[in-house]
Amino acid sequence: MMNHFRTFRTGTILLLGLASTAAHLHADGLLAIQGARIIPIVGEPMAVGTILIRDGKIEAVGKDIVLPGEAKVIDATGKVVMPGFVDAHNAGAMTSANERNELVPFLSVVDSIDPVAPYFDECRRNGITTSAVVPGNSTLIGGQAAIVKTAGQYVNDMLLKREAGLKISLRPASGNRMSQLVKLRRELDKAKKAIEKEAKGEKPDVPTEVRKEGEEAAKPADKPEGGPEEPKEEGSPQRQPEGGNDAASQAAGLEALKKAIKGEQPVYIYCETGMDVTAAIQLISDYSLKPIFVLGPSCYKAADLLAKRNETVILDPGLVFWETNPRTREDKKIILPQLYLAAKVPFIFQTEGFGTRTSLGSSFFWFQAATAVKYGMSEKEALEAITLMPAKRIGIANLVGSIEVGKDADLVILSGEPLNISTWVEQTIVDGKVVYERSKDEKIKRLLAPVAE
Amino acid sequence: MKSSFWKIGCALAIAFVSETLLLRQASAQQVDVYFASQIWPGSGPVINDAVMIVTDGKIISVGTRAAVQVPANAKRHDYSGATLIPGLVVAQTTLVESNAAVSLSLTPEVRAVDGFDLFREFDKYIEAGVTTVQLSPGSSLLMPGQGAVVKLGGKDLEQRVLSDSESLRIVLTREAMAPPTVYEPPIGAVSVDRPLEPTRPQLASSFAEAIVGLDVLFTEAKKLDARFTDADPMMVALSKLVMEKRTLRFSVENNYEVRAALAIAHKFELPWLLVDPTETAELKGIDWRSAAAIGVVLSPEMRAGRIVNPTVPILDRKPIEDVWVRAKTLVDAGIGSKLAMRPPTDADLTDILFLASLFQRGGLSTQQILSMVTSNPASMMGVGDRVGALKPSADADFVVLSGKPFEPGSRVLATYIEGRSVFESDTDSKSTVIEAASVYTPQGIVPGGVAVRNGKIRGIGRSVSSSRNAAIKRYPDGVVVPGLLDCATNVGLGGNLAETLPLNAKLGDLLARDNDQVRLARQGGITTGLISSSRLPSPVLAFKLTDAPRVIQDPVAVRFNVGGNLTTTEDSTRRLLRTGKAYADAWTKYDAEFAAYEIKWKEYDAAKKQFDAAKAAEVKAAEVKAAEAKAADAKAVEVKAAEAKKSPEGKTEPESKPDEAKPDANKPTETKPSDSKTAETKPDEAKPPEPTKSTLVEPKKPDEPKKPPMTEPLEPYRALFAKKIVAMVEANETKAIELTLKLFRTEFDLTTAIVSGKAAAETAELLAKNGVLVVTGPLLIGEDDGQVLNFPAEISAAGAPVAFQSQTTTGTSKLPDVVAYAVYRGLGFEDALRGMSFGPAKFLKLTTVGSIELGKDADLVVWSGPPFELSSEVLAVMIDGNWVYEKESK
Repeated sequence: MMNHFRTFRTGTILLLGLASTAAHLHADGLLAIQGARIIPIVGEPMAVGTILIRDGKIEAVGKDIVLPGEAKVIDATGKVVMPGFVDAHNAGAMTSANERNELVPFLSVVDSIDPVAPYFDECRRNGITTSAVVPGNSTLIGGQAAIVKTAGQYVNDMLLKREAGLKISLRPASGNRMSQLVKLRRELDKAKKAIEKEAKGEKPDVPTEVRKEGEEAAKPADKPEGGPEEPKEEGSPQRQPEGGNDAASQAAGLEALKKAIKGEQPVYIYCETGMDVTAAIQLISDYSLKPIFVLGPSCYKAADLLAKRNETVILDPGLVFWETNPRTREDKKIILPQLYLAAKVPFIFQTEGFGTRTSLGSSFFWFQAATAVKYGMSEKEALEAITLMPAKRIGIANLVGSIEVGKDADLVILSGEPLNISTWVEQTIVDGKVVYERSKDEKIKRLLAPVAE
Repeated sequence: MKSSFWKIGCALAIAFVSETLLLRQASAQQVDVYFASQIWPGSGPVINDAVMIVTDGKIISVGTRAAVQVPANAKRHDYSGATLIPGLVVAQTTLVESNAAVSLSLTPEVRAVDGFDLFREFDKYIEAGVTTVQLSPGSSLLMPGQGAVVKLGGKDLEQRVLSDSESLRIVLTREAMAPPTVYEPPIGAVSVDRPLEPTRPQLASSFAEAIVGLDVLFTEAKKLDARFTDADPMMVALSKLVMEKRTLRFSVENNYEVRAALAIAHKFELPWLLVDPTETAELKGIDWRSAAAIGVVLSPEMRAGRIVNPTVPILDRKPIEDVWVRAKTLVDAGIGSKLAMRPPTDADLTDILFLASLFQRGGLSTQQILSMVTSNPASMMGVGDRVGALKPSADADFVVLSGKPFEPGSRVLATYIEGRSVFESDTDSKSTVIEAASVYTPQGIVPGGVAVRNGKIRGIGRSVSSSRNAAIKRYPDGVVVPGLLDCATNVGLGGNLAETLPLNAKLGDLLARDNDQVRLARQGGITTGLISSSRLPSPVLAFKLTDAPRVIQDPVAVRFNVGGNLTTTEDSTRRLLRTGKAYADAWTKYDAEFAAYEIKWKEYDAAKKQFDAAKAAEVKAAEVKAAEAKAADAKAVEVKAAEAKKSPEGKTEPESKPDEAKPDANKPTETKPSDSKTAETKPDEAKPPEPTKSTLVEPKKPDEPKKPPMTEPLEPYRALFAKKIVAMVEANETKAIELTLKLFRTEFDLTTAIVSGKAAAETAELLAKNGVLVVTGPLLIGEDDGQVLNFPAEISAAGAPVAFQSQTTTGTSKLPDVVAYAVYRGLGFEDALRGMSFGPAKFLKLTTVGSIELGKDADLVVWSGPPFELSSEVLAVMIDGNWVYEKESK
């Protein structure tokens, strides 16, 4: 980042684009990492190996690779190279996790990602190279997620996938669960009926104007959760004001829901408790949704139900906590990785928001994996759960998640074995570019500097 | 005629085939059989001495023991003495998420099932016998939403929702007539994309408005074409419910509300259910056979154990009838099985059986009331094929009651859902089954565990049968040995006892209750201890180390000391024993004489009876003769003769008294000297009435032997010389042991135990020859000429039985460790165990303790491995069937 800023100051606007892509690459965008132990996730680890990167992609991985003379070489002898970590659910990149309006299917997080957010700094510092930016859990239908790389100047450069999923939360944003589900079903029904109509060739009853990319979408949405329309008779008990003076956003919202029902984009379903899981499963079957389960702490009670689905779920950031039995007042320690391992539910992790609680272990991705190892997960599985599994879960495993020829050169060079508390991220590489170097990390230096007398 | 016969035949054949099929299927899976004194199937009459067969969560058959064929491989559950009823079905609850709903008065699309948490624990309701409930949306506004029927427990979540849309709730009572007249949407955070919602008026500010509004809504809903998809979602939901002929569940009170509810239901041809009507006038004329009449749910407006202020009846209005009166009215009007009950609040679900029993006041039978909380609501809600009745192919949801349903004191012992026990009442502490690896019995080591009931051992081995309420303790690697015996401890008295005690002193009276020392002492596995004073001779008491120490025998022995100057000791001890023997002999003689007297008395008694009978006959014959003579004189005298006939009968009565007055021959020894006078007077009472004139010879009464004077402090000698108790003699020198054997064994022939250490080891052969028990300890290992001498090992090797003593207080718990050391030093393991259990127990004639045998006291010690092995530790100690120590698990 420092380099980028320097360019900013010295260069012209025209140069900016070029400079940011080729600032510290040698000719032909060639980069080689030599001498490190390689954990490729797919395939067996290599004790010593070389990775050759050309134009942001991995060109070769192996022991005896002849390096072109012009390649810039990083000597990583004694270090460990892994694929960059993939965070499948995080709202840290946005200025706020949720809109105050609870029903905003038309929103896209792309419009709210801040490329210089401290979140991305932390990502690079901790080896996260890909992040799915998903609206938070305090919502009904919270908008559409996007997948980004964690380094870049402009959102569009960072963007890996735009419509990466629709966020639905079953935790009532207002009222109770019954009304939350009524509202949710109402919206899904609308979309379902619209699809049915289209199939019959009828004219859809909502305006067809669709929001264009980058277009300002912040016109006031009129009461999208608005109540039913009553039969227009005298003495009709309930009168709803006519909605839809922002037809564009309504249409965009409907489109997003239609895509979810057609299976064109997945649905991040946040379940707070076990009963939300049962409700979610019902919704999934009623509307043929493609779900990504985002689980709250007490969802472990429904672990058996989740096991039947055999889908990778995203666990709550608080992996270990205490629960009190309301009747006996007995405290019980709940260890989520243990419970889900026992129930044979495949799972991946998420972290608690960066920035506010950095002192907590659970804000670190590697710490979550290490906790799972402590409670019985194999190290191999744990490493997969922070790289390839989330990549598969959010549908980008063809690009990231492992060190394989042809995949994006998103790599982490670690000072030692992963999941070890004394191991540091030495360098982070995104798309073949070194985006973080510990030796140049002023924040870490300041943190670790001896206190002046 | 022919065809109907054919039909019956077919039906029978099908029934037979299906049952055999079910049974065949069952044979592959686990089959559970429940035996009970009574089964109330919910619908239909009670079955006495009944059996129910369950497999795979379903009932296969229910019937009397004679009628039902029990598969051979079935697992049997014995609930004899108990009653089985169906799991209770409650016709209306609000066990849904309680967060405040939006105060909209019309939300037919809300589904109560969405607010039900399948993962919540409903244990307290299940413990009250409730297994299935109807859920109603919580709000009490006009049309809060759709009800559902769910089970409160059960393993299979998908099976727990019986109906996700059972009815549409409509509230017509006064509470629904006061919604916020204007609906004010929650204000919350206002932003550009979330403007303040406008307020709007809503149904229903008055009853008339509500009814008109409902009429309009239903009319519109009925008109809605299902294909017309763009209608208001609320109307679409309502229309769907109308199309599907969903039951309308009206909450009503007064007659006019009932009338309005029925009018709506009839107009739109929808089935109806009324909840809580307080007036029955409108309900009397209804044709309950009609399918549209789903039924009535009543609630006792009474909370179990609480006082609710009754409302003062309004003048000129009939006071509200009690709920049981209304129930009876409806039953009389022919409601049949369409009547159900619900508790007034969800909190009262725990007292549902009590609240239901109130209907007995209205004269409803147990059968009728039970069906109001089982089969009736189940069939009213359309789930009767699965729950509410114990019948073939229904879910095996049932409740085990300790007595008949609705009987005072009858409580829920267990609740089953789909054949699985979801609740069992606290286990009976009287029954315990210890599952362990092996058990040490006098016959050898047996694999398995021990079953205990009422403080006694009732089963040993691998397949001990367990009572249904038995607490099961599992020690998979544990070894069960008998509770150990310490032949001299100081625990239990709160310190050492060093006072000269008369031999008749009752040490048992001195034992302290809830003594912490005792609690500590038994942790080592000692369950029985012997205590005495350290001033000898002293009586010895045997007691159990329970919280309230239990005396087994007092005294169990007399402890002597032979030591010091042996010449004087020999004399004094001999004198002591002579005095004792003289006293004992006097009583032995008396006992012998008394026995002889008893025999004589019996002979006399028999002879006396004969004599009395003969005498009576003689008197009677004489009177009859006289009467005959008089009868010959004249008829007028007949009356007199008749009177005379009666009198002999009256006279014979006192003659039978000597039988009753017979002295109680069974306990002559217990009669104290002061009683002897009364004992002597008894035969006097027994004197027969003076014979008037007779030629018969009266038998002579035998003389009772004279009792020797009673001397309390010498009393224990009687037991000692009768070899009922033991003489325990401390003798710490070889010479002293020799003297002891001479005096106690040879001269006075007493059952003797020698308390000694090294000296006993040196005289082991002699001791073995004399058949004495050798009590050693606490020091078991000594030195002899610089060589290690293992006292118990030497004694055992010579063939004399050993026992051990600690002579400490809390150190009693360490006695097994000391013995383990002796075992480590060469004492045989079996000798060690015998010496701490059945060896001394048998010698001391403590017949109820010391070994694991059927019928003995359940004094058990569970070790982690073979006892006295250094790696083994005590895991648990049981005395008289109660756990007194359990090592806390790691």
